[in-house]
Amino acid sequence: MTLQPLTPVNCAGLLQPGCSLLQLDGEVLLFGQKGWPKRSCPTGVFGVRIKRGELKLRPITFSNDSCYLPPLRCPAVCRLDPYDGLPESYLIHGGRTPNNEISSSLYLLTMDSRGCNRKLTVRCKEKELVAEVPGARYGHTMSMVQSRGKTACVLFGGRSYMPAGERTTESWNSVVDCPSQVFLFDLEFGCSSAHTLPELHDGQSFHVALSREDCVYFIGGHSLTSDSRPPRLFRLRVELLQGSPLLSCETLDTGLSISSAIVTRTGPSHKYIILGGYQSDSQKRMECSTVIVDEKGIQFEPLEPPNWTPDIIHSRTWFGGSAGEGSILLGVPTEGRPSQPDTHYFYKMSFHTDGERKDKD
Amino acid sequence: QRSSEVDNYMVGNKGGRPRQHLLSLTRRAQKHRLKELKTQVKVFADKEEGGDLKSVCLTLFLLALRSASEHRQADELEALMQGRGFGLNPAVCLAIRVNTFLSCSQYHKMYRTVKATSGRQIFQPLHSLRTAEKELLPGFHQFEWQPALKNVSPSCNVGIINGLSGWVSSVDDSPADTITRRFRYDVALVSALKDLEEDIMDGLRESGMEDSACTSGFSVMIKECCDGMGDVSEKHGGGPVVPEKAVRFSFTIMSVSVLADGKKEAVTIFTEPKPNSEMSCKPLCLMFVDESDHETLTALLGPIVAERNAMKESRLILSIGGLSRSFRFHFRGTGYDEKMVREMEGLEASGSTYVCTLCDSTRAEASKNMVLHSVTRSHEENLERYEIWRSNPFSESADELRDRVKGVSSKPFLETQPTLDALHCDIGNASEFFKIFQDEIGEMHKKVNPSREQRRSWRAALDKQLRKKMKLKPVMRMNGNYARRLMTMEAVEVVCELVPSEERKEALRELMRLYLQMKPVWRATNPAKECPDQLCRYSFNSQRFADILSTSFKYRYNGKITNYLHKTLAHVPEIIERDGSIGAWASEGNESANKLFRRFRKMNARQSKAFELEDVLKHHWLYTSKYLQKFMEAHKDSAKALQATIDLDDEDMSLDIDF
Ligand SMILES: [Zn+2]
Repeated sequence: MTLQPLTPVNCAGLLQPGCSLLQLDGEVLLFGQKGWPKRSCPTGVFGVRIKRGELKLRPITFSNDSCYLPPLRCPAVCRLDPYDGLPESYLIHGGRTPNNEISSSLYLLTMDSRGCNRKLTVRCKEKELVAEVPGARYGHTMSMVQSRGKTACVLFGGRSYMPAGERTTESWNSVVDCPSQVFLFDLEFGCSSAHTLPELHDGQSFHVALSREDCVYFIGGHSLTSDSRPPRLFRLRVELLQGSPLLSCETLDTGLSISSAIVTRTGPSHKYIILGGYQSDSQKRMECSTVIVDEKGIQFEPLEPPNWTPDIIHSRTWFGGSAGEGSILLGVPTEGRPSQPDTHYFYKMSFHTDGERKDKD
Repeated sequence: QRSSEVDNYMVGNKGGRPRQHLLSLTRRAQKHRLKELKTQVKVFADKEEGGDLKSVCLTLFLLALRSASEHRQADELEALMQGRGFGLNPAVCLAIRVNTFLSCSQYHKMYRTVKATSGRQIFQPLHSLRTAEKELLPGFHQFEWQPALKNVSPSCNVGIINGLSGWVSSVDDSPADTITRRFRYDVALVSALKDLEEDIMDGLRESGMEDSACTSGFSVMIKECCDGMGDVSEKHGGGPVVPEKAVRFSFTIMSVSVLADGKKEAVTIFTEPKPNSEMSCKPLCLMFVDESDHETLTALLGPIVAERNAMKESRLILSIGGLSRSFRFHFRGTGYDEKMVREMEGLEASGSTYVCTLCDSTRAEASKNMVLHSVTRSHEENLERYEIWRSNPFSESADELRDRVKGVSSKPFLETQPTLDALHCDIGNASEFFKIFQDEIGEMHKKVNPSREQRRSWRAALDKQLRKKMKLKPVMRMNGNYARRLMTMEAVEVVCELVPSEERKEALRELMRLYLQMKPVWRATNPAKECPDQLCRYSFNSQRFADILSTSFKYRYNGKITNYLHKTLAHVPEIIERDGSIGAWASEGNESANKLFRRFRKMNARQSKAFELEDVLKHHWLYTSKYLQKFMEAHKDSAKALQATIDLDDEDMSLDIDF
């Protein structure tokens, strides 16, 4: 495992906590830039290039039939993965706009084409949800489940502003846990249904959701009501029966106390690395874990963390995302160092995937 | 000698000159004029009040004040009569303290010294100043909104609040790295209106409106300003790390009018006499934030926008002059520079092809047709256009879509009034003239692609000439003072000395002559009164100005024009017709309040990040109080007054009613 410092080239101001990294057609994309998109990149989506210790961003264009979504912080982002037999694309729901409005829109991002110089064009479409739709929120998760040859999307958790009528200007920016319902919808018709499960009684957000076939695992998360990060682990099973779906939930006792973790998948098997995030409001989680999801269930294994630099160790916050299989882009604030022109230091972490390890052996 | 003075007066008066006002006379003349009355009052006092002439006179005075509703003065007099204050009224002391930037401890020192040296309590102790200031700060007066404000708590006694408005520093959400203090907008407006109470009552009386007849139909026009204060870094004690930049949101009550029942036209009963002064520009919200940090700025201004929106839908019920009256508020956000307008209204940055925040013109169109454009942009339309941009309903390419929405590519956040920012317009145009001067010195009209060195040498020549002949030191960035000096015929003449061609000299002179004819129109607070001729000729002058630009200065204006020059040439008459003035709605008050911020922070605030904004906000608010300003006006030479009070002897301290 390596930890490499990066020098951002004219782009440090665009990355901010709450941004998302997406992988489309082998490229890493940044979504959720700071501020509204400028003329130089009207889509607000950038290609991320890391080369020889330099971090560069390149504007990505949208196809003509696209809509222009605002930059969103902490949306629920769900990758539709070719490993799982789905067309490679991303679903983006909710999040905070640069105006601090919380979005309730759902967007689908797919690759449109490769132009000259293999220039990537992305298609962005807004998807309409109907019936029992999830309200505006952020810090929640979305996952794909497959059951009986059908697929559906599971949305859970998140935060929102207080409901209209309760929100006053003196508490305008305070947020509350969304009610702990599970929303299920299909992508074809966008018909959404809300489900209440007795096991999921507390609202939560900034948890990790990992799905395999008909199961979604909810790991950790932060609950505003109790201001805590209980080591929770739930397994939600979704059976997509004819007619109404059947949802069941189990509470497992091997959970982690973690919020805002960064997750990267390391290959075709459901093997993930969980890193970063927070154990408590004043403590980052410095450990790493490997998570394997298979037909038997979910297993966690500790993974040797890299040698963190003093910047990383001493910062209160950090953020980042998966920059490809087994690779993570990490940002750490430079707070308290006025000499530093940029607001963040950046690092790239690389984990050797199984394949590479074998090659080396 | 005494009698001759009186004689002079008598002679003058007899000579048919208008009789002078009683108060403008010397004490002797006053004595003379009231001689008869005095005798009668003395007789009355002897007969009815046991010879207490003083009490009779004071009571008469008191009754006169009360019947004219001058209750504050009456209260003071009453206090004096009851022997409570031989010293200054606490409000006077507060006015002196605030306007002379005395800190509490400095004031206290002075209070102690005066007390020790004069043996009397002329200044009031700090605690009584605090009582006086409570009444002037937002949160003191009761009020009601009909209907109740949406999303705003109904409580009235809300003072300084935390502008983070419940934004908690949890690590998962981006933690707030700012400190912000503000007033609730509606509470602040109430306090500002109560501060104007006397002026409003005077206005009603002057318009011949019976107090009781007018309880509804009041309209209050508000100017809003918001601007970055730039770098305010100061090495201050402990506390969280916050940006070293600050932004202030402020407002000015521009006018109060009333539409009486059964009347067709509203009557203006109060107009701010100095709409561009820092004395009338009231601070609402102080934030440590970089103005280009959109996420943080919108989080802090969001609740203010919500309060403003709620107030637009409701009426304020407030007691003014002892009667409940209802007020409607109209907000005009004009005190924003172009950068902020673009940021807040979702327009592309200033360098955009879409050159104007008022119309849809592109830079090329604006340079081809310099004068004929009308104001078409509005907040509503910007919102609609953003939605079109976002949804791209006609499946267009980014460029086609951009042209459809004329450069709106982010969601408008705050409503601004499409206008011309007179202050920055001056500065923007001056820096354009500077470049013209520079080009003329280099005879740009004859050249194709001058090198950077050549341009630099012209600039150096211009700097040198202006320095030598006008004592104008070169500046890194154009500022208001430099602009004022540069935009004069004198400056043109000085520049012309370096311009070889007679013809081009004449063109420069004419350009400046026209500009100077145009400028008062958008600078004046009331152009129809202050410069009616120039107002009439504006369209003609701007047309002529444009003609010169597109002929003699074609090399500069072929396909290009600066944002402010476009606004100056194309939009001024229409805005004046709409708003009556451009100058009155400028942002100078807010701008010049920036120095106040630094001053208050240094002199009057606790040296702690957690408290200083609170202190600055409070102090700044008091500084803009009309009520205190009136006391200050009465005690004009405050320094002298201070000194004088210290030296005063007993006789002068009592009310002089020596007959
Ligand atoms: Zn225009």
